[in-house]
Amino acid sequence: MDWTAIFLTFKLAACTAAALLVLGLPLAYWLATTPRRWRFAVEAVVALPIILPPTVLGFYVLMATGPRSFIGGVYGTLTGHSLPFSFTGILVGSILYNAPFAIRPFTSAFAAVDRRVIEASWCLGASRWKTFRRIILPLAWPGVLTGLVLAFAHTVGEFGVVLMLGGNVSAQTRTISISIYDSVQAMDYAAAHNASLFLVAFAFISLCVTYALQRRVLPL
Amino acid sequence: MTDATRLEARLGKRRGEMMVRADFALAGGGEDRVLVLFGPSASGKSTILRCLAGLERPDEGRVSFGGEIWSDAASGKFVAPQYRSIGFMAQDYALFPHLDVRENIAYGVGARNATEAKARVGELLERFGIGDVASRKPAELSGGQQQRVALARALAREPGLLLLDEPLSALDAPTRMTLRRELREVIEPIEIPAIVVTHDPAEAELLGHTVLVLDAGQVLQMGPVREVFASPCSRRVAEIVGFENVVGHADLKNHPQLLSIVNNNAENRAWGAVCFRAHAVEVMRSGSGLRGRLTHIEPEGPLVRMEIDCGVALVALVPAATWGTVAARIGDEVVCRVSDGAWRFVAD
Repeated sequence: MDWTAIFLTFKLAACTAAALLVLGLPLAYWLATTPRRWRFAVEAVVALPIILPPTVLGFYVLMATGPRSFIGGVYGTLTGHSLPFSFTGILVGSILYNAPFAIRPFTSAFAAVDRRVIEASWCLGASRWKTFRRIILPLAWPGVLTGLVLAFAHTVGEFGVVLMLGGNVSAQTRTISISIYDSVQAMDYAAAHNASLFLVAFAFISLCVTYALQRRVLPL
Repeated sequence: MTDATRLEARLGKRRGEMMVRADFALAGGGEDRVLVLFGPSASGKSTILRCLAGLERPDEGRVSFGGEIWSDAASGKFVAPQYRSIGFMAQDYALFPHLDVRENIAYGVGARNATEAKARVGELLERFGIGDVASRKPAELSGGQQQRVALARALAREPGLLLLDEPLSALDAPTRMTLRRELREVIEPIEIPAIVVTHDPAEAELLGHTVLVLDAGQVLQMGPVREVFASPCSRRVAEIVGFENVVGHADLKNHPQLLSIVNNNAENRAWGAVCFRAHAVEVMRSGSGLRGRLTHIEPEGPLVRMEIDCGVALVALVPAATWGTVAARIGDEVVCRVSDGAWRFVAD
């Protein structure tokens, strides 16, 4: 088994989920509460990766972050590295690609919190931030956890975006799905089998956790 | 005390097609410090309460409390609910489901030192008799206990104004009866002004001193509860406060026998209708009075409700025991009499 690839995959998934927790929660909260009519456009952008081929997203991120692009240029000047074919590069792609899997459950969880409970908190003198921290987030927590599990699991199984952006650099960008592709190309079916079975088991467990969370079977 | 707790509200709030308007003042301390907003559903009473709480921003007018302006549409000034000295109790109590009773109450106590806050929570738990359920979650409480927790929480930060939105509507009828009295016992000793939204006449009479009758966003009548409920100023108010019988001027003209209700003195007065309650109608098998045909009989606890067609349909509510001796059936001819002084002329 390619343990380097497995470790890298889980590192990428953990970083993606963490980044989506930080970036996704405020966006999801805004989506769940804004009265703005053009909210649907933002929702559509967030959901785009669900139907776009990963190659398309990978291609555009590659174009946007290449050394000759603005973002790539700034990043290069600041860090001395380039984004494509690096861990940071695939992380950026991964965050964008997995955003809907985290943000959509977050949004429905926030939207499901009873409005009157929120108003009761305001009327008791609690600021919006305190209300979010003490009331909304605890009540929406199963949904938030579902989003994180989905984003993590989906990142583990990601292939197209990583290949487009990262290529196949060991310990940098070669995740487990790329490693399987490699093994098959090299006709090492035994290695491909092992890694594939590992992914199947992992996906099954993740989904079990997700559904159990949604039915509130697991204690929180 | 009165100045520091004086609420002045003159506001308008658009609600779909309807414009909700109200204009009133209220102060603590005195007899008349509990105001009831009374009206059918969707008449705008909750909207007014939400404007006072700061949960809605009025489109017109100004609200001030104790000299401080809470909202002013003209200048755009608006104080968020967090900064208003209010205790707001929502219709279904809106208790925090993930916090236990103690935490729910402590949430409202606000920023003080820990010992003081703890003492305050303990005092409220004791005062509302919920000390023994302090570590239960709201879902494990009875309706009555939930109401007490909600009230304790609303009073936790010692508000200057208490706002109760349909406080008893979440309960079943028997519990409502008991809690109505309990709620009164809680509100009575508090010196602060309170506003109660309700559509139940019994609730309004028991809890309120002053009533504001609303319909379709407009205030139709305001005054002492007993007075308004006994002498509505218009036909619509009579209907809203629960007069079962409202007979229009034209009906009275078309059915001369109905004039006996008002002792035949209807001619020289400017009025639109005559109204009287169902329990003021006496029903007999024979004798002098209004002749009509019994069209409907329905037992209602110890009473019997019936409809009699006397040219217009009248509703009567008589004790079951009395009714037993009349022994009339649907289709039978009966005679009705309206008790002297039980009817009122009202404007159209």
